[in-house]
Amino acid sequence: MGAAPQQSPDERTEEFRRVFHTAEAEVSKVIVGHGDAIRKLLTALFCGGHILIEGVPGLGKTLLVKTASEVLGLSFKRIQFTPDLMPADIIGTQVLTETEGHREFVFKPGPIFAHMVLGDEINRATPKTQSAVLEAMEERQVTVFGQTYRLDPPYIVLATQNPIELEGTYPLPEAQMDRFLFKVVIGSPKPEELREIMSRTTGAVMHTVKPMFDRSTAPAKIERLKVLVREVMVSEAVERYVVSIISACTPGGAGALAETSQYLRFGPSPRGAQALILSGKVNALLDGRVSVGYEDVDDAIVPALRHRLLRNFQAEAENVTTDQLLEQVIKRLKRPR
Amino acid sequence: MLETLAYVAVPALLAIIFALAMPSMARTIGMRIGRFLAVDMVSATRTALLVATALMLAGGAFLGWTAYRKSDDYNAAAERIDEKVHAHEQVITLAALSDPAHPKESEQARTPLFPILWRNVSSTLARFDPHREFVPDFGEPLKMSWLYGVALAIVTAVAVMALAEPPTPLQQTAIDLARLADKLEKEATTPDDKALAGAVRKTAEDLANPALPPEVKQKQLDALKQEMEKKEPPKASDQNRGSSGSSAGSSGSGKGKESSGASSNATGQSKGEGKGGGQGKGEAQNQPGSGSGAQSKRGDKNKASSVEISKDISKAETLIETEGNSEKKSGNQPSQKGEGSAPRPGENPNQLGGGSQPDKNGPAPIPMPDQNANREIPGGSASKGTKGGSSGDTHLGEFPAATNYQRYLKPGEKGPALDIRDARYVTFRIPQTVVASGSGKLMPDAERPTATVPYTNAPLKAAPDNAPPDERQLVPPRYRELIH
Repeated sequence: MGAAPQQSPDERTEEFRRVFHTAEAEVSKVIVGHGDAIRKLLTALFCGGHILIEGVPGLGKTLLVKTASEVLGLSFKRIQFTPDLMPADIIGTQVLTETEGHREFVFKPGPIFAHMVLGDEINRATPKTQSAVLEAMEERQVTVFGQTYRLDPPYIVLATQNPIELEGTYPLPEAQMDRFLFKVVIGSPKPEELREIMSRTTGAVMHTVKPMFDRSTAPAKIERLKVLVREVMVSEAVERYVVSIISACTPGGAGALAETSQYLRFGPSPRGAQALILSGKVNALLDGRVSVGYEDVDDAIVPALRHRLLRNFQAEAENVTTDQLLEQVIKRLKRPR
Repeated sequence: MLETLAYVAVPALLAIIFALAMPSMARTIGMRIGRFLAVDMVSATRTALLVATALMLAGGAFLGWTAYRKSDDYNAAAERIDEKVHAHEQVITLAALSDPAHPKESEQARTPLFPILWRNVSSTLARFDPHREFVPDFGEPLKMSWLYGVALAIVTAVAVMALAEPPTPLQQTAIDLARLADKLEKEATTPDDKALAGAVRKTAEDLANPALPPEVKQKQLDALKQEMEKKEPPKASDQNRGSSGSSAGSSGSGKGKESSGASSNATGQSKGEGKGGGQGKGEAQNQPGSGSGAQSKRGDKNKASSVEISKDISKAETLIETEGNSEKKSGNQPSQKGEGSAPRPGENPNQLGGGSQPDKNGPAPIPMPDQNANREIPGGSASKGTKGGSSGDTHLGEFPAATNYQRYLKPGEKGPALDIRDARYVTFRIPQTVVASGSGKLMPDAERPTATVPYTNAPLKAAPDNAPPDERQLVPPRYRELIH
């Protein structure tokens, strides 16, 4: 799915910025605050990644994803993860169906077959069920009874985690965490934002969003914009910068900082570097450029790497968070000059 | 490149200045602080400073060349321009995608968005003026350069102070002379006195200069002596001493006052004696009085100064002579430390060995005349030059370390005649087991107590006169027969 032949590069980049900013504005009509979460959601969508959203209940996580899908004209499904949820409940199953006198197994797709899938409280499901999502997230396909079914692009999984009430939960394994492009932490709204939330949700006027695309054409348009993101150029200097960031976060590595060696067990995988470059490309396009700069990368360091760092016992004992470590990395890292 | 060179400009310049001024700096330090830098140390320090200068300049040139190479590098130049124009790495990216060194790879890395990049960078560079953006900024380099310069100065000062040594007797005499010159200048009232003070200082500086040959120093001393003699009225003071006791003349005012006042032999016309403001004729009044006029005091001071200068001159002459002799004996090689090139003691006991050279640094165990060691010597400050030596046994300031003091031939031993005509002081050990009998034969002297320490003819008491050393009785008469 390439670019439309009649569109010039300028028109394509202009369209990207327009779509992005319009989507942001539309979602913000319903979601008060959380501007960074909205931007990261859209960035992940155009990068082809997935998002892990962490926040206490009632902050509008589900509403955010639902609103975004409405704005972009994409299909949306929600899965409430519970301990008794089975993989077939997510992926789908073969159902024996009688049609015109003969019986056959027909695949009944699960809720994972949508453009935007919200896995609510993903850490409440068993590891078996969680791992069922893995193939879908990475391969964009599911296999049922030996039959592989492709998921229609664009495909994005947005999983939420509740940082409280951890009894009876199954924390996501590192391998699964690594598959999320960003981990967005949603905090409590500020007082003025809270007032605005009350005003919008308890009044007579219901705020609705206006879909940007028709449901039939939206996936193709979004895929075209995803191609544009991939065309953004990256210089060798910026690539070296990203490598130095990853090295600084890898304990015991050549360029590791003292803090990371002290508090981390494992550093980010190459997916972390990919995440930095891809999100940097989106940031560059939004800034009107077609090449990635250092600042574009800096903006993505914390959300793209915070869930890829595995803390050691000392860090947990001293309550040193990965965000604090990444702030140190940003502060002390020198750009290649 | 120029900015890089500016980093080493100040230290290099300072190092050159220090290297050029090192001899005079060493002399000044010696005269002011009392620690002198030997000639070879001066030259070593100069060499070190010049080498440091060369290294600094070479390092600066290398760094400058590296900086120049970097600015000449295609991608590095793009980075610098990008930084200057705040292009968010667009210039770097464009440079990487249009690298003339790798045209094929660069073209392959381009995407359909490349024209936008090209246009963005072109519009950015249109506003870019290299002459305005890359104005040489010498502020920071010069600031750092000054810091390096100060560090170099401190290191040089510490090194000089560490290498400097205590003064030789001659240098100590020069220091004394310089102090007297200061004193003289402070008390001077006439231009002549100031000129004399200047001459004394000049002579002191020359004496302290180890690079000057003894002949030149001797000439300087002779000239100073002549000047001193000009200033001093011939023997007028002696007459006054005889007639009016301790009458001191007054200066310019013409009014002299007798200090004692009790003299009945005063003729009424007495010539006042004095240095500086004390010259001129004064009219002595035979009135009883205290005799403590300011002019009279100044005259006394000047006289004392002149006496001290005379003493120092005499001392310096002796030392120069000693220095000259030692140089001759050591093959005309200058020996600043009184060691090194002097001949080693040989089989011949009458030959002057290396040990006969004055060793100012080493302990001087002999002579040990016990109670005489603390006696005051003429000149007063002569003992300053000794370090753990005789502590003022001689007025030369140090006593020769007579490691080869057994100069006399043993019975039956033959050798060349002793050549100690120029010796002023002799350290010797009286033969213990022989004595001259009436028949002229040497016979053992069983009654004589055994000498445990060597003897010396060093003056036991400070000589009150200002006579030059040659006129003094240097060898006690009873030992003169032993020296031929």
